[in-house]
Amino acid sequence: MSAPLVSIEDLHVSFLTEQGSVRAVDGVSFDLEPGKSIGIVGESGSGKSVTAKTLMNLLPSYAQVKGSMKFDGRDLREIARKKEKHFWGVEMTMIFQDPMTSLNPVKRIGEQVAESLRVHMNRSRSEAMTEAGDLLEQVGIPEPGKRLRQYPHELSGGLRQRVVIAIALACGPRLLIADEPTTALDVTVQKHILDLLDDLRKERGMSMILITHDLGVVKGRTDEIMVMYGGRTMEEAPTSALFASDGLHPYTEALNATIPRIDTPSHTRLVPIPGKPPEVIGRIEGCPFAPRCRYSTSECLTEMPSLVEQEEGHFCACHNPVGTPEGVNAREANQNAGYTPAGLDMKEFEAFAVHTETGEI
Amino acid sequence: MKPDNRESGRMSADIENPALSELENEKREKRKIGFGFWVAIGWMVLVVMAAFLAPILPIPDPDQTGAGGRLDAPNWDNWFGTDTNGRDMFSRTIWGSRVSLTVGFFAIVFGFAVGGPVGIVAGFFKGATDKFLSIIIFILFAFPGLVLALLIISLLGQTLAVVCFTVGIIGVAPVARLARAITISNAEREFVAAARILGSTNRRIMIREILPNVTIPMGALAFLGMALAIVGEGGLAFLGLSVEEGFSWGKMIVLGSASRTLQKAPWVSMFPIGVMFLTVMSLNYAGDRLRDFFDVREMGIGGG
Repeated sequence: MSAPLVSIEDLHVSFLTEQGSVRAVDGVSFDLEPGKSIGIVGESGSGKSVTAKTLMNLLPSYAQVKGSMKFDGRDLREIARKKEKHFWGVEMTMIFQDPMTSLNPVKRIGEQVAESLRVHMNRSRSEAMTEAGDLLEQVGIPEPGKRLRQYPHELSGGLRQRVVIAIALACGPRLLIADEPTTALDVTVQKHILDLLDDLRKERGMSMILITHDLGVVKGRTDEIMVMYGGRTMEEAPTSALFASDGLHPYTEALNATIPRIDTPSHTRLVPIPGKPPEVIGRIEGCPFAPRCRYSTSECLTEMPSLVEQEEGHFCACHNPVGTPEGVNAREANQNAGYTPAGLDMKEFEAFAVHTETGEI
Repeated sequence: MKPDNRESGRMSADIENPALSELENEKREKRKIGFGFWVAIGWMVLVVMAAFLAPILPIPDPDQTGAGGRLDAPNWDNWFGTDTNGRDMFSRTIWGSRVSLTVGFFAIVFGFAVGGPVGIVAGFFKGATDKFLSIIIFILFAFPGLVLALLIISLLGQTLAVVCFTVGIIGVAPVARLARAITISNAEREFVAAARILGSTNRRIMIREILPNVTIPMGALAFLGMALAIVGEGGLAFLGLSVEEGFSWGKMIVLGSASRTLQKAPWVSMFPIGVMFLTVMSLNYAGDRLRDFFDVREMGIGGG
């Protein structure tokens, strides 16, 4: 095992608002080795984007950050404090969800790709332009010479996201953070972009953090997966281990059940997870997912389970993991009572149960 | 165009390069700005040229009395007729445009130079800065423009610079508010975050990323604003608050609007009114067309 490129330990991020302190990230830890990739999965509000923004030093000034973040052994907050100019955008870059808004609509593509080369690599205007053309070619944009002179609105969403990727790769980063890179795109284009990211990562030996709400996106793509909910890590495992079962954590299981499958008959209803993501203002007692969980016991409402290694390399924070005797008992007890301890009607899980228990739909 | 060849060409290329299938909405219909826009621009060019070239145009001295009779109707010698003092109205309309256009132009330059940065700074920093600047903007808005104009002009005197400044200051508030709104909608966009990752300072982001996005919609507003400023100068003239020396379209209209003159010789006020009307309409129309033409959001930035 080589030394990790990124090492996050017990990261806490909270925002002070008028309603109180919002705990966006609550004790998250992970390591990422050079050349490896990790997928961070969770619903909106699970803290995944905030984690990324914290790494990128993009948080607003009213955010409070605790914990340690290291990049190649160096403290990220120290780098931020020293206002190091050639770190973010060079060593570590990020691509955003929406290629419609991450390009400046009034600047030509070439200018935008060349900009970071000029700022960080001290290239002259013409050198930067030539390199920008090469970059566009590397990300699979046809007729790069012509594209350089075009404006973002002249390109389609998929091409724009390719341009965004080209910009991110311009300075040869060692870590690429992709925050929902395909969410705003057409499904047909999604796969192209994800494959492109994968190829580029392997080609360049880059590490990547892929953030998504869609387990289907990271399936078979990233080396590791971390599932987040309510700012906490729920489950962390190598991708193959996580998908060997449908996940040990009830939340992972639920996310899995929501992925539309190609082998279902058409007009099959998509299955939502019952309940709503938690409000994370103030201190939460117990597990944040407990109010929506059919495996929950009264213990879940009062005590947050710690992240325990259930199998080798497979961590899960749950009192009653799926597939264990505790899990089965808890679900049956709730089934017999008709309600979960948090007061959710077990009937709401019916659609769900079909998905997860029969195996075929 | 040979649609057949292109279709098959694209299909085979698809297999080699998946990105080609993403090209489909690349070719959009070229937008047309329309014939009317060029007519409006043509009129404006004509008016501005005439104003610039007034001293060398073969027209009578605008202050020379007796260029014709008193209140002569339009004729071959005096195309626009003559006024109460027998001065040539055609020449006066051209010379009068110099003050009107100067006020229109510099008032807007002033309004944008002050209002633009105020709005961008307020919209970019938000929070306390925004609150403070917004209060000032609101006070400016709430202050009756006419009272403000009276106050400034009676304090500073009726010179051309003061009139420009007065009309300009009334324009600051709307300009600042629009600039603030556009800035807010842009500052949230991810290209600003992307620029920050590149290590850009706030100042650089405001100038290099936000300003170009603000300029285009504001450019259209500049035309509309100029039209309003020209009318505004006319309004001031009616109150006797326009420039003391020289004359403008506004002052000429006032002169021709005495009831006896209006009855006997409507052309004395109608020609400056007509020219002002056409100019203001051209500015408005051109501004509108420009706004439609350059509206980037309509071209698929927001919707996609």
